[in-house]
Amino acid sequence: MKQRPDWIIEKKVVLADGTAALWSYDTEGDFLEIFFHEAPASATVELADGIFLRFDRKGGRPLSLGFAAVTPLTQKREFGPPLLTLTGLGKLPEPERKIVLKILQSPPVNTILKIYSFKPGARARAIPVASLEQPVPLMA
Amino acid sequence: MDRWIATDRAGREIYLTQERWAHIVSRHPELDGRREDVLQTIRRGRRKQTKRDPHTCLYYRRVARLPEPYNTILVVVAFRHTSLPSSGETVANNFVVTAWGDVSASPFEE
Repeated sequence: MKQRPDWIIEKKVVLADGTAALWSYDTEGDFLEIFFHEAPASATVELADGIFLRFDRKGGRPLSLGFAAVTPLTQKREFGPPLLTLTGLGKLPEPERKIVLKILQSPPVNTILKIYSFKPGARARAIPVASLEQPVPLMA
Repeated sequence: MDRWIATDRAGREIYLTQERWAHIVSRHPELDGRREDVLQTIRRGRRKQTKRDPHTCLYYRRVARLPEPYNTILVVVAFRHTSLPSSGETVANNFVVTAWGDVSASPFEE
């Protein structure tokens, strides 16, 4: 039987909405990927610095969320968990942006990545930001 | 252990182990048979450092021979250091973490 490498922690998890997912954490590379469905991706977007959503454009469903250098995102700061600015959304063409936004606002992705609108002033445009919910500790 | 080494455009040596390659292909089958394209992405691709961790970088490059609809390879590389057991000398330990086929919705597209 093929053994799993000792640098990878993989677990089947049930997310808050009841969706089964595969949680795959690379302890040496500090890369987390959460797989929702096994299917070829028809699009990938870098939502924020080093954070990727692979999805099925036609069905509008998420395939996986990948986080490079994930540990800093799980560490509480002075006032709470760090927020990510979702700069990738603004770079997408409108039809793509709508698909991605719907995926982000729906289960199972919204059980892991909570998104918020941040408006720095009354006249300012809202900025999409997010924080990482961690259903499973990285090293458990 | 089998490993392949590629040198990026800035002269940094980065290795990919057989074990990691097997894991990459099991999770991202679009790269099955494209190991040389992954190494070429390191040699010739564009490089972006993550802001969160300057020791993690992304390499990406358009590749024509990928299965539809993929058109780009993205490689995540960790830049670490390790001590040699024999001398205690600290040496670079730069390795491929993961890779996958990317598609044109990516903001990487120019």
